[in-house]
Amino acid sequence: MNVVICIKQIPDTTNVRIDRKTNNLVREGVPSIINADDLRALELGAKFKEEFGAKIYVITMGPPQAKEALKDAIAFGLDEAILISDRVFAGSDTLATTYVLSQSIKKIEEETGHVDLVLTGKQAADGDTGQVGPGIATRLNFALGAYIMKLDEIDLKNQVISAIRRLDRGFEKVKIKMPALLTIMSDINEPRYPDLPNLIHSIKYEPRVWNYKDIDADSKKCGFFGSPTQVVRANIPPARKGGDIVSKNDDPNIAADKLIEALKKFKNARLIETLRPLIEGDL
Amino acid sequence: MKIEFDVVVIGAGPSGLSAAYVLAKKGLKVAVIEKGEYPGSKSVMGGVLYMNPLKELIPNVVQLLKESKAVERNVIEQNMWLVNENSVLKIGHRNQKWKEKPNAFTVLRANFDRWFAKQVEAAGALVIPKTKVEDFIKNGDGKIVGVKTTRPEGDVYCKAVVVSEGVNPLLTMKAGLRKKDIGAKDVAIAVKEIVDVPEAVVNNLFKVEGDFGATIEILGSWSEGMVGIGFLYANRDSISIGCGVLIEDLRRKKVKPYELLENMKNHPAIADLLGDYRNTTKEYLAHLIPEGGYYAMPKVYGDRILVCGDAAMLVNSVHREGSNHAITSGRLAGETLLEAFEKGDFSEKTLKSYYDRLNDSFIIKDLYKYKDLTGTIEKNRHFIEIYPDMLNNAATKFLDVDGTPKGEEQLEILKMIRENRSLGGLTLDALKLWNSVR
Amino acid sequence: MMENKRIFVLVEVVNDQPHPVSWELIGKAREIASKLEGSEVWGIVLGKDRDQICNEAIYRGANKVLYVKGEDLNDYINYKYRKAIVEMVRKYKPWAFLVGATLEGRELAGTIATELKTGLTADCTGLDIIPDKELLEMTRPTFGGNLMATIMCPEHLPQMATIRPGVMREMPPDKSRTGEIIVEDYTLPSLEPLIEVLERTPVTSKVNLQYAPVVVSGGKGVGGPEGFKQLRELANLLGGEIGASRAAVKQGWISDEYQVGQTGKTIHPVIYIACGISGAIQHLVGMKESNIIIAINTDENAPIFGISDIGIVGDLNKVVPALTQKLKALLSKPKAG
Repeated sequence: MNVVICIKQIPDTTNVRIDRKTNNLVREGVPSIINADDLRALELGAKFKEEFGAKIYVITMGPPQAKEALKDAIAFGLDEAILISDRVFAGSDTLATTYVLSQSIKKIEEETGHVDLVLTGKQAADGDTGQVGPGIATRLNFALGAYIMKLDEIDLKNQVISAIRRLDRGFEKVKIKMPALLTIMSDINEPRYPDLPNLIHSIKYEPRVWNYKDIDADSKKCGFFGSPTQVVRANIPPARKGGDIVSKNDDPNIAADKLIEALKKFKNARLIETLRPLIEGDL
Repeated sequence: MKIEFDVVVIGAGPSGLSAAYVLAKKGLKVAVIEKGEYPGSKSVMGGVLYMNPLKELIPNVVQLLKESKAVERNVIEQNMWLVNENSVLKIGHRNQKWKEKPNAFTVLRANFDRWFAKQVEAAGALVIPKTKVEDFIKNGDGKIVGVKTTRPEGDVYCKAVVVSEGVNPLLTMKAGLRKKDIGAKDVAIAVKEIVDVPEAVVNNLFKVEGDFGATIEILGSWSEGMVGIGFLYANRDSISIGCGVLIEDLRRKKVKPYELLENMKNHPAIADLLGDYRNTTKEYLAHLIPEGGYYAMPKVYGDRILVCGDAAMLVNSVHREGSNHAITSGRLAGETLLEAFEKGDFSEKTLKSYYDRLNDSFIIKDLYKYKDLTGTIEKNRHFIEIYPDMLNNAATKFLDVDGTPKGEEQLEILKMIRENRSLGGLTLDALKLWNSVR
Repeated sequence: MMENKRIFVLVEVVNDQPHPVSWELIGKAREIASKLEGSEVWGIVLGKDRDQICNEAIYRGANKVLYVKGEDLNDYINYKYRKAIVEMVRKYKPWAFLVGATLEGRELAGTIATELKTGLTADCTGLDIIPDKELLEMTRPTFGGNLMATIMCPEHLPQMATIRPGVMREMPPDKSRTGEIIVEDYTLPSLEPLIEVLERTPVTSKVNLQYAPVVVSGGKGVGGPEGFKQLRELANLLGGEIGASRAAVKQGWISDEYQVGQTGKTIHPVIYIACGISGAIQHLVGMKESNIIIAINTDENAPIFGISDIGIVGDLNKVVPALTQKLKALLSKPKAG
């Protein structure tokens, strides 16, 4: 079984600060990390290697610094890491990104004969789109199993994966045909703390680097020019301001009444079904 | 799989990296194990790095550093400000010679340590980050044969260990080289902010150009009578502003370190200099500095083990000397081990020569010379409480045009000084002060 | 100028019921259509026996409904929906296509946009139009909500976006509205079954923090594990979930699955009720994007009041039970109007 895991190196968004004076995002000194959902995909890959002797490839599209993320991934005990890096990839939106990544996966397919499974995290914590996994599956015409939160079985003989996925409406127990692409939810597992031999191996490991020619990409479909969407503005949202204190040390019943009165003023905001009669009934 | 190295260095700060550099250059198999995300990620210092100790390690270091982005500015001017409530007396020294032959650079430690680690890696050592050493592995005879890390399969075997773990002496204690943890009076806390300031503004504020920089040290009323020194260092497009005080003082006065720093930033002299740039903080750092000096030193050698840098308390009370001593002690530890490898003998007897080398170097002489200084300052709080005030008052008297004839003014100044301290004591104090802050 | 600029809005159906986000999007699409000459709003409904929903789409503001009627399309299966919708888009050539940013919607839109090779802006919280350019301006949070990016899709149609539930305003149903319902009888071509759903379970048992519309969260002020019972009661009444600050979790009063904040979960429910939570920055980053924040705390200087929409200074252990009682009474009353 050959598995490709797509990861993304992101700035640690919990550390991104806003300079309210200049209204700029302070990214300096913010460490780069592997996206949390992707770490779970790496852990899953490591388990596949241990259980089935699967060969695990890790790829990422990014600048040369993203090599660090690949080395960290190798510390999970995985086989090979490839950095997909080229100036023509700069400014890629999700459509261009899925093009570049699917071309890379096809290249690995060429090298190895077959790719049976592609794993991605559910979404990246910086871009938050969650579109890249589904997009790659579409391009490769792989079965798509998005939002996997539990993996029950991989039946290699029949090429079927049994899993549970999470949707807004509930859980779905599914059988997914291989080759498949799974996007991984963070509750699927806890990523490991790599052991020392693997860590040492990863420090010495030098990932391969592929440019757009290496993956037979059409440069017009990559980067800024291959991206239908364009970011026209980026603003720092205003800080949330505190509203009124509607009740101060009142009798609890009066406080509760005042709270409900205040809540009724939020007609414009999204309503929840239970409160709908309360608020709309008052119209 | 048994992981084996010739030497394991614990901690990728300047002392550990220096030791590793010396050893790796001679072809020994060295691992530097660092608990932080990357070398330098946990390091803090004021931000002035002297070149001399590094040159002994890497002869062309100045050239290399200039080509890299690892250092900020070449310090060509050093200032001492003595402040009281609303005035300041400025003493400065600018040296043209330093333009050609850099004496010191301002640095941001994360950048410098990473650069230094790269040199060490290029020399052949392996730097292992994100890994904590928790204990030693000992053989049947109780001799150290390796270290245990917190990672799975994390045992690393080696012939000798260099402990450069920093101010928190957990492993030095586990090795039996230090009996007690260091006390509060042996430790100072340094707090520091890096404020964003455009390059042109830094140039203007410090009256420098290009790659040149300057430093300002501040003594006086801002520390509210505590033993402490404040500083402002010119980086490329930022300024390091901070202060160091003894932990005991903070406890006694019930002041929080950052409050003290705020206090200093709001002193009129600094407020005038920095204006609104005081509030462009992009990083806030705090760090413990061992200040115990000579008397607080652990035993720095043992069977198959050497201790260097902050872990050995090799920090002069003169605050800026920490990284200096760290680099030199690391180099000496490395050289000692090279000799031990030649002899094939890592016993305490052989490794004692590390202590002798420290003795022969300026480090222990320095420590010895100043061994009573922290105590002295503690006992003689007039360094901080009286002199800056007195000197400023004297300056005011002298420079204020108020109709008093000059001769009378000088007499008044003298009287003022005498009222505060005896003349003999004053001379002695002046010397001590000069020594302690040079 | 192209005629009939169609704004497609996918009407998401869950358990034969329309998802409220669908009406929110039709409401928003109406507003955009009013600024764009020659445009109309189309509700897209898939499945069978959906006439009622088609009608409601009209009442809620759609000009037309495209009813893609097919036995196979009753349950959402990605590859089937993708196939059918892509065919419809190719046939009817919409100008824009809006989908609710539910997990299902984001998955579906991601595959459709890739197949159509058009742009898709995910999880938008703002939508507007530049009339003279006839382009949508789509605004979305990135970097964990620290940055708002405004995105356009200038040269590809349809301009696609998924839009976060709860941020747009729906229109009340108006039964006097009329509109054409175009029925497309659709038979899915034989496709290789890529995924098969064996079982569906609604969310009940597990901790449901990240998807709960209401979160009643407790901190140090709750005082002990017992105190969370009253929060649970209020949460259950509102169809929500309970949460906790790190302080409460650290005390061992509640399991860390419930923790909200930097080391816990980041959530944006419709209503977040912070009970006895002072509001450390580590907690705030996990919930500050909630729609309405209610804070109940004895300390009127607690930082939580700095971001709350409704603040109550008082003892949660008295206010919460009183609130639960009052809401219970109000909500059990028959619906007025």
